[in-house]
Amino acid sequence: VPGSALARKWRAGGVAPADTLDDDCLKKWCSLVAEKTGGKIKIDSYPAEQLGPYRDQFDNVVRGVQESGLLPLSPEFDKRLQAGYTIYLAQTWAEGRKIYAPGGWMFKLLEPIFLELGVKPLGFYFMGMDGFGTTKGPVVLPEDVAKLGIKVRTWNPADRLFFQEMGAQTVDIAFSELFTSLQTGVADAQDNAPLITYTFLRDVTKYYTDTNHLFEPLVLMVNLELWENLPEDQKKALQAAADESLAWANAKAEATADEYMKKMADMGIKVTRLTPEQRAKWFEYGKKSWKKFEEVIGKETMDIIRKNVTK
Amino acid sequence: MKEFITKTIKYLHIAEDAGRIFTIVTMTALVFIQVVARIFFKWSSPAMEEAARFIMIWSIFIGAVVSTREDSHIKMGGIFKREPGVLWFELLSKLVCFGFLCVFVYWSYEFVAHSLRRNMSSIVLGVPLAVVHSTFLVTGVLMAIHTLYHLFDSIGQVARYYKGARS
Amino acid sequence: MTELILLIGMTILMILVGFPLYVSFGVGGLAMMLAMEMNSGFAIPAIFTNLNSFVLMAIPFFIFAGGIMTASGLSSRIVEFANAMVGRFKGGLGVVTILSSALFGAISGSSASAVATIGMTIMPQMEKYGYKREYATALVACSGLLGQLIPPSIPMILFGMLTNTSVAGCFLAAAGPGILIIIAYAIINYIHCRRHPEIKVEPSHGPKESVKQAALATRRSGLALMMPILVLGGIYGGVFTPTEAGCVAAVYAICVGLATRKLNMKGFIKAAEETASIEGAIVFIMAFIMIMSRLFTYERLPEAIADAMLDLTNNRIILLLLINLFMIVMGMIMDDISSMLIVAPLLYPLFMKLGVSPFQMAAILAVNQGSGQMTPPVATNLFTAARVSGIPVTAFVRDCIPYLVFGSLPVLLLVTFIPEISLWLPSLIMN
Ligand code: NA
Ligand code: NA
Repeated sequence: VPGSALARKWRAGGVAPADTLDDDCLKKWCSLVAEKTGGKIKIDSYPAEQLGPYRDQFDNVVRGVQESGLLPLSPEFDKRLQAGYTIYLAQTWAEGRKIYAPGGWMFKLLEPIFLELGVKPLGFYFMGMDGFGTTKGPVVLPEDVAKLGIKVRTWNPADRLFFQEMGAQTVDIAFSELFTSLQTGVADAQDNAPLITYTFLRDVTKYYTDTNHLFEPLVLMVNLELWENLPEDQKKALQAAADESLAWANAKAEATADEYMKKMADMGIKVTRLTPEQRAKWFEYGKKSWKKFEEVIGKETMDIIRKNVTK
Repeated sequence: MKEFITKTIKYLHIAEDAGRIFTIVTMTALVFIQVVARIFFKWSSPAMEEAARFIMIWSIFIGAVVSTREDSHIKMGGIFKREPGVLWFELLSKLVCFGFLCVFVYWSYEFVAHSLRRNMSSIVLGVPLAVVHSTFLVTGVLMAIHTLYHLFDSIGQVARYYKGARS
Repeated sequence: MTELILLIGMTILMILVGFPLYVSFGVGGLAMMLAMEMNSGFAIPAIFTNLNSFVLMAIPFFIFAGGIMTASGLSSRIVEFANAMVGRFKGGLGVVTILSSALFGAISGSSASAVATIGMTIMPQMEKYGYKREYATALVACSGLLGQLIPPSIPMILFGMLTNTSVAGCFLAAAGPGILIIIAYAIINYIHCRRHPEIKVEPSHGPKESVKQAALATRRSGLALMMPILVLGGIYGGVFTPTEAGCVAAVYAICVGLATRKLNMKGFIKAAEETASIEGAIVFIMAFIMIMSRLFTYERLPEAIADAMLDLTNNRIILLLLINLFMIVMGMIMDDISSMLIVAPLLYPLFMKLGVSPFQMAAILAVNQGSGQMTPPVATNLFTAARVSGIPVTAFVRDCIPYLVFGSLPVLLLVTFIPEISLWLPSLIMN
């Protein structure tokens, strides 16, 4: 089936809103591909989950219904992918870039899983690091979360265990209801990268703390069968285009995240930037939560993470 | 043979009705416990929510099976008002439905097979997703069976109409 | 693109000639996939992801709550309460119908069930006091609109699902026009009653007796009236999400039914069974629409529609009028659920380009398509009312016209051109 895709335009799906750095990265890749293949491969990009929820898109790339995408890890398809959502896998951008770069230990850990699933990972883009946005606060230390009686909306097993470890009450709310829930008080806090917090939740957020507990990678991927049937020069072109656009976007990502935090501060949100000592306190809870997280991703994977993160 | 079919259909009815009641009641109970636990005991479990969602998917499709069985799927009034037009259209409609449901069953089969092959499991509960994914296959088959039953009924009605018209 | 539009035409044709909706959309989607040479393997996974949603669960919960309410006879107590409040004024019983529909609509979640339940309780009484049966039926049918404007509302849950908009916000957005409709309808009814002196008013028993009666009715209906307060107060007071509110409503209805000894095992089982069937019928269709709308996005159809409309004219007023006209036609030929399912994803980008907020769009769709329930040929509210009152639609359709022309239509225009009508409640309550 993917063979027929050779003849027509490819589709590339993204998750972030149009005209964000994420979207620009995908668009840049598309235009570079057209350039480097001499127009033999043309890709249309669709931002903002227009091609469906990211899980569907991931599945569709696996099935070859959609040729490519810049998508979050979808652990439904293999629970080992959950490893990418380990709390404090990386605490700084430099660290994150290093472990996810081709040859980095996270890349090595995830690549075979992707190939097994049927997608070719071309590289990672970093959407940002999750911070803590809340209507109560300010929150500086993990103890503040329980002290202020903050109900945290979580979105995956890792952050759920993390906040429960510090004695917080966690709630499960669909993203579409999150804004209203923060407004009415069903939840008092959520953890997302500055981009998401600023774009969707700025009007209900009063405090934001850059806890950086989750390093959120998006993977630029192509359907494997389609990839394998490509001539060598086109494979090279696709990979080169990916390297170039990802390097370009990743170089800008940290500054962009800072920009969003500045925008939040400018509109009156109290933004707390943690000192390394303060973040170390959060890291302790993160590490404690790994014990239970091990049940989610399996001991084997957790051991690899332990070995690499603590060294 | 006829007795066997009647009996099977009868047991199907009982199972489907039990399914309707069980899913709706369990779903309500799960979410209600969740709400109470959160408000009064500050406790919340994503597992209950996930279970409720999966049960809802079953309830939707069991409901669709019963709508098929009772031939009460939402439709417009239609353009045929008199016999035999109405009868012929019903026949055609059932035929198209049956054909489409066969496609649906085929899709669902592929889906479940894919899910089993990949050994997909749910994020929170860790149950094999095939437990929910099979909803489509099981109910698809049931809908096809009921539609086939209606189709034969429709054929019978058309036949009776012309028999009646002749005599 | 042309192929796609032809196939949409085929789908609508299938619906109009009388194929069940699910198969029309299913076959339409299948044909589109074939035309687009697409792997159909994505269909079922897409259905699964879309339905695997906690927000969607609000639909069965509210249907279940409404079913239990009906089984426990709570709706007649609501009528009793409204009657004690306004029954003794000129045209009071008509206002009772409007208010009861609003109150019951607030708990039942759908307009057809409000029409059936309120109609059965109130029509005999209206006739007793000199209202013509035709007029009473028309009023009940038209007031059914309030069932989907006053939250909770199933079309609003669907809209929220399809466009990723907050359901709690959509509920409030539709409530603003709902209040306007209540006022407009009350005025129209008052004018009607003044022209018909044969309509009697319940004799007053003196102020003391009236207060006593009102107190009694309030006490008797208190448990039923608590329901909207519990649901809406719970959602907007930050106690629970709309989905959980539906669940709490259902459990509450069961408790009240048991406490008043009106709910028996048979009624309970029937409500549960019907919930699954109604939910199944609605969501099964939605599943195939979601596939179709995914295909629309693949071909960038909604964008193309938006651009084509914007190419036609840049005048925002004319465009909004055209969109409404298009939706009125859709409302004539389709039921509210189906037209919501088709229109919401197709027109969303166009509304956004016109600077209409998602909440306002929700309100416009709610009023437009809700009113479509009273416009033949496909007019669910009229059919339901006709079945309840036992007279044919043709006998009372004329009595509906004032409510449509002087009630729904002006409110539709107001809601389209004055964003505050839909946005003031969300901003008032949620800030
Ligand atoms: Na309602
Ligand atoms: Na209509």
